Amino acid sequence: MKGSIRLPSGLQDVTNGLAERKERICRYVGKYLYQRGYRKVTTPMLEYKEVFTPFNLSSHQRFYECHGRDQRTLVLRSDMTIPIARAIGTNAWEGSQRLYYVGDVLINEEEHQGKVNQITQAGIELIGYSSLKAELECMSIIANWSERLLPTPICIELGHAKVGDAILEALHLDKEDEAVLLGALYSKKIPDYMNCIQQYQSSALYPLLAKWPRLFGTVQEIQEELSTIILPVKAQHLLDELYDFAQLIQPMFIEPIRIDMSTKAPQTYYTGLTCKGYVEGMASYLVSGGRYDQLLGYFQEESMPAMGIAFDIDCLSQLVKDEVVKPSITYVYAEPKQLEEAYELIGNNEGYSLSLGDTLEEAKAQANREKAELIIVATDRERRLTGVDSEVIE
Amino acid sequence: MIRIALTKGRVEEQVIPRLESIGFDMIPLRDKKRKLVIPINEELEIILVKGSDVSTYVMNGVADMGIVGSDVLVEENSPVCELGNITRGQCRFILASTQDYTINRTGRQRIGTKYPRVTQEYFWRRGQDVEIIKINGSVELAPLIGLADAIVDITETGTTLRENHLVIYDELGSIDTRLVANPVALKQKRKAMLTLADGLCIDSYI
Repeated sequence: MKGSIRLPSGLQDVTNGLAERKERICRYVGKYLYQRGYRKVTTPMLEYKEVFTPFNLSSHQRFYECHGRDQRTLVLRSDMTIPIARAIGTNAWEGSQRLYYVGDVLINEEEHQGKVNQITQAGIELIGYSSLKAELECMSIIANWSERLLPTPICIELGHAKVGDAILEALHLDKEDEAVLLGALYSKKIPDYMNCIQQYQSSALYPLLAKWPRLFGTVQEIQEELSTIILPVKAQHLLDELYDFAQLIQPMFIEPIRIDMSTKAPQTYYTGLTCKGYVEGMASYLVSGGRYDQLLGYFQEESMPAMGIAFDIDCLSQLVKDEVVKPSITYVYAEPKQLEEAYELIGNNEGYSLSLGDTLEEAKAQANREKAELIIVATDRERRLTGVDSEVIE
Repeated sequence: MIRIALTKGRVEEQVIPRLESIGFDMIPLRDKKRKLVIPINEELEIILVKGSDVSTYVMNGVADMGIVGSDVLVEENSPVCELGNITRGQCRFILASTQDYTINRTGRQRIGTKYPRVTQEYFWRRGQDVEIIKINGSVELAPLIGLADAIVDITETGTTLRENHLVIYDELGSIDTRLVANPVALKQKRKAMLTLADGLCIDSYI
């Protein structure tokens, strides 16, 4: 039996300093957001599956499923924002909210691919705010955390959830053809995509369709790609919004702001501006978010404008510039009769902790192993041993 | 610097002249001996891997790009970005069997293959439910000794099939050598990776 016990694929125990580093980051972001006027929200790990069903979460957010006593299907959350929207809707919270959360999502990834199935996220949700100030607030927080925590500058990439529709609207495709074309574009299966667009060679939009997969990069790179191309009016309007916003937030960041018009929005419920952030040397996104003005409408009578971002704390923990300094511990060893005296000593001294060794030898061995000091509370005196096999200090 | 996970063997041999044609001195790869990590210059490093592992290296971000047959990508349904074809149609997926085989015969057929997903999709499109038997090598053997009614496999010239008296009943599609990329690396190293794609791919999207 012992030999067959193992962790499911994609999960891991967090040890070797990483747990402390994650906790330290979570404490930092919690304190920072609380002081900035945000209030914490915690939702359960389990939700009924139908909470998520309308949002067609991508294959990268497959659920772990189980059944409740009522035989309804329960899922472990693979997204933090939807449960928060459910909480707001079902608890009839009124007015605008500035919320933050720290918690885990679980994603049932394919086995043996090196994927991580449990990710700690920390993020904010700004509920009831329709102006660009909400987007600016999110960017300001990304800038602050990045400057405070990261060793290298973050790259911010902006997008818009409606840009694909705005371009394809002008092509008047039926829904099925549209889905095939966008599927090939968004998954960057370029040979398939080029096959898809061959039939539109005579369309005035063809030069744009041919360039579309390359429409990502700095503002300058996008402008170069589009130098000889006319965008449909609606798409140009959205791109202008992105240009303006990029210009607005550029002073917050060192790296040039990027724009991506060729990738699907990170979530299906996004309705407006979206953002992602990455750093050199890390092959996954560190932060992502977007505006979701319709999501609340699934859980309450009327929708509310909203905007949120989420940081991947596991990624962040691998990147943070500060190392955790292990606290200096002094163990106190006492026989049962001297425990009261030992606890008094511990209570009066920061960094003192009771040695749980059954014998003095075990206590010494532990202190040696951890290079800690050891104080022995004896009937007539207190003796202190310092470091490995050190001398008795009277 | 860009690191490419390159499929060992035939794909590797096809790609070396293409990389040379765009200015890379590929002598380190030609003289690689048993090395698996081959620095080409300051801009490029090649790692040699099995075709079925290319996506894993690329999606985990330890390689920025990969070069792999489209048969592997289709079978794995891999989420890597596919930037273009380096060669096209040198091999093809085929359905083959002995001379007495009938594709539309009644009853559930047993199909031997290294490519269960490709096979399943092909027969679904035909409206046929078949039993798939996963075979990892010498697939041609399966219909000859009665393990399967037919096989779905890849072939370049058809010589092995002919020598084993097998007949091609249908062609399921051509197989290309494809340049793939990690989606985030593509953002981080846009200019260098698109330049490489433009140089290597016969149908790059410019």
